[in-house]
Amino acid sequence: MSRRKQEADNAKDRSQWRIKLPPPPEVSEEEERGYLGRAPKGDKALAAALEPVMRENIVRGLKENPAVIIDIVYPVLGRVVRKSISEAIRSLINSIEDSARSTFSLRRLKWRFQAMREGRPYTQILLENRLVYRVEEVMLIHRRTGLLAMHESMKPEHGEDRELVSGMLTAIEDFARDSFKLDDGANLSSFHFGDLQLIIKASPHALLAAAVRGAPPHSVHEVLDDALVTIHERCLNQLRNYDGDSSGLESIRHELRECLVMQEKLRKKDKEE
Amino acid sequence: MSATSLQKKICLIGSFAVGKTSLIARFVEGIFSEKYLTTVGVKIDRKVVEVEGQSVRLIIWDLAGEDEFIRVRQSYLRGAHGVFYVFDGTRGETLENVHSLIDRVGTTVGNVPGIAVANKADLESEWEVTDEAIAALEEKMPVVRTSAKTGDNVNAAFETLTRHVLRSGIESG
Repeated sequence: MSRRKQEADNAKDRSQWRIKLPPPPEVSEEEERGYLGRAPKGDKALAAALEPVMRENIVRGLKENPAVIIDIVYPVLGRVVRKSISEAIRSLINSIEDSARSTFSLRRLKWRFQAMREGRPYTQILLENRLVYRVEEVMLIHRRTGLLAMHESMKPEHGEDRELVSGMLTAIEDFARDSFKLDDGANLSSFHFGDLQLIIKASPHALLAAAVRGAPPHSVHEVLDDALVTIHERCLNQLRNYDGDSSGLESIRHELRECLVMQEKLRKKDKEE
Repeated sequence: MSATSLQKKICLIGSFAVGKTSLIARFVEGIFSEKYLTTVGVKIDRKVVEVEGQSVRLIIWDLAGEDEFIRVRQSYLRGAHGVFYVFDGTRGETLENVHSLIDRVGTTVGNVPGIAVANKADLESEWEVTDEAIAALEEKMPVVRTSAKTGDNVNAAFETLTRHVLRSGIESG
């Protein structure tokens, strides 16, 4: 017997074991509702008898293949869970925003008012209030001539007038020295204008003036002192013979840039971390 | 400030009311008001001059005018590369003061290039200063006749002094 015929016979044998049910009777929806409404009391007893078996089967099935229930339940529970999480996050954000609004709005309003009153950009006021200190610019001034030998700034727009400022600064220093009959070794060490401080360091041939906003720590003085010492060591001859030409001083521009340091205020969150 | 631009400190001195500040007012850039002259005694301005193919930034120290009570602060002259000595042609004593200033600058800062500026050239008919007096001064330094009112020769005065300063730098270098 061929293999194909053998398989066909086996299939015929298996089909003999199937229960052939009669086709369902044709019933209208109204009749169906009537049947269900008049269900015999014996049906409840059958359901009660099947319940433990069904429950046991379901539990066993879930234990054997939990992925099934996950696949089924996930779309329902997932939505619920996601919605729940979203609600929680939204609630948290709203809470933070409310808190921020109530905590900072008055302060920010004050800063905005200050910006308007002083005719300055709001961002500048905001930055000032967020900074501990910032060395905004440094000027290397030739002492004998008052000429601006080199200048570095966080804001490029500062550059243009600083050669006049450096001259005036040395003039004021001379004025103070003459007025109080101080010796040549005495020099101005700082100016304070509101939250702006001008720190001046002096070497035999140069002044290093740093415009600092905020409250600089002692380390800023050390940075400036170190820079001036390095400049003095590296460019002693150029400064001693300085004649208004700064091209020979380019090698110390890096030292000036290194003086432009700053520190921001730690926020509450940062502190907690 | 350009990293390679050449700067020179120039002082502007003279008697009270010879027109120093008016002389340069229209020709310079500045950020300081004239009140600095009566308080600190100096006002600093800037002028960029092109001379012999070179751009020079003159940092001009306009010193408060001298009179019988006020003398120029010697410390402001320190480090000057050049000096404008300004006098008023209609007031003879202001020229006398220029001679005195030349001596004092020489004593304070040494041999610094300078030119004399005879201001108020527009009022020449009212001049007290004679041609002979001008000639005597020219033996010491060039004299340029200017008018703050009309602006005549002011740029020429800046260029003349800058040229002297540059030549002096070459000679001393």
